[in-house]
Amino acid sequence: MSGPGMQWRAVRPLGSAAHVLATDELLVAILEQADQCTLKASSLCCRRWRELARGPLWRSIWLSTRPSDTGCKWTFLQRALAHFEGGEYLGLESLGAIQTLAGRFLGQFPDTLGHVRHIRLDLAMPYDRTESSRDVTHFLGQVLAAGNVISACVRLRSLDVHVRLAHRSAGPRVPIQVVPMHAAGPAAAEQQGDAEAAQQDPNAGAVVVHEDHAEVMAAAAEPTAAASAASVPGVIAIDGAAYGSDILDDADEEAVSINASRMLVPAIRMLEVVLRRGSFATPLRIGWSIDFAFARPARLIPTAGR
Amino acid sequence: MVKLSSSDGREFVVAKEVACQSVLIKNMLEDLGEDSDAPIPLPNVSGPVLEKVIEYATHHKDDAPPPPEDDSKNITKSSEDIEEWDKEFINVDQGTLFEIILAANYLDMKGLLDLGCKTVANMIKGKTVEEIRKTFNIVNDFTPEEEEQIRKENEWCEDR
Repeated sequence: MSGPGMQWRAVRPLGSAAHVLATDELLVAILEQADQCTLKASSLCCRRWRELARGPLWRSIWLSTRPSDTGCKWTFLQRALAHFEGGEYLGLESLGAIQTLAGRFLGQFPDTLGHVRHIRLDLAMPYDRTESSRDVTHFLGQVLAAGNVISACVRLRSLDVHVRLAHRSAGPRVPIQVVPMHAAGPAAAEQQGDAEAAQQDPNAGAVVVHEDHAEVMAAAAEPTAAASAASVPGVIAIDGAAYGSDILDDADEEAVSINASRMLVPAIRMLEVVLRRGSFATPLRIGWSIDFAFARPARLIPTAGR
Repeated sequence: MVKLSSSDGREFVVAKEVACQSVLIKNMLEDLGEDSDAPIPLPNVSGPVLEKVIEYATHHKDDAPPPPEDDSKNITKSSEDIEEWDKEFINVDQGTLFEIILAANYLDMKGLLDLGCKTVANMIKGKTVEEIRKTFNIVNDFTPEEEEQIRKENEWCEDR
């Protein structure tokens, strides 16, 4: 048992403890129950423990386009983009860096992304009332970068895409951030249903099983109870701190909705194209969800084609 | 009722539903048929450990069967979520704990195996690399350069 009352003694190399720890299957079962800190320490014990700890350590990651002022720390892609690209905003000149991002990361840290089984991707769109082409390009650049990383996770089993609005930042934008799912908080517990349609791209050979993003469109036409509850305009008062105070009326909502919608469909299409080019070892389960605190989805989606 | 025979020759008579918490025993019973009275030999499990295993199986006999593993779902495992009864049950010396893990693995009892593994994970939790090495007699076979590379790699993983 853990805790202050637990007496510690070194385990001799003989006996049941040694037997358990010498069995890969059992050591993995123990490491699967450990937290990230313990896994990191375990990975530094010896070569064998390192190899066995890598799977649980890299099992889940969280990609997010949220800006830095949400309190999240700089992690994976954020740092990767900063390291390999360096610019504050992603533009056309960043395309080469974005497309080689995962490859360069794997060059430096091989056999890491191959352990990832689950990714949560937060597509947090800028919500300015005035349109900014720079914001759009930057956002889509982040989506492309995320897609590039996802494609490199060849043993990925599931991808949960959450579409939402980004917190407006007064400070410098951070391109993208990745943290393991374990740090995702309560929202990480969201799970998708089992009804998927299977799609296969005969050219790429990658099998993608996913909840059609038409679900998002369906949510627009007939918002679910949960979506409706989360999308009434009154929620802005509750979430004012998180979403800023610059959305004050219906006109603001309309402007933000139009701008957000213009980015949503290209982002989804871009992800689809990138993912179909990936060579995943097993069918990939993709779940979509949409969550806008102040606007009904129906006000967003139909404007996407304008 | 089902008779179980431990490695030291002790026999235990338990209800079938208790014995069938073990997938191994369940399969053996299916192979032997309903009418067999012969004790089921468990040569890898000692009497005292089998007694603990039966105690666990009896307490959990009405539990729903564990769902199949699905690593496409992001289910965050935690070594913290151990029920009170289980905490008391697994509050044993280290030797017994590891023997229970071996027995659970042999008998194919997922719930008990998870409990044992969580407990060991809790034992490791908060320990430094050196403390883990010392506790489990692990020899450091890394070069300093390899250790540095792993530290850098680990920095890309966020703490839970």
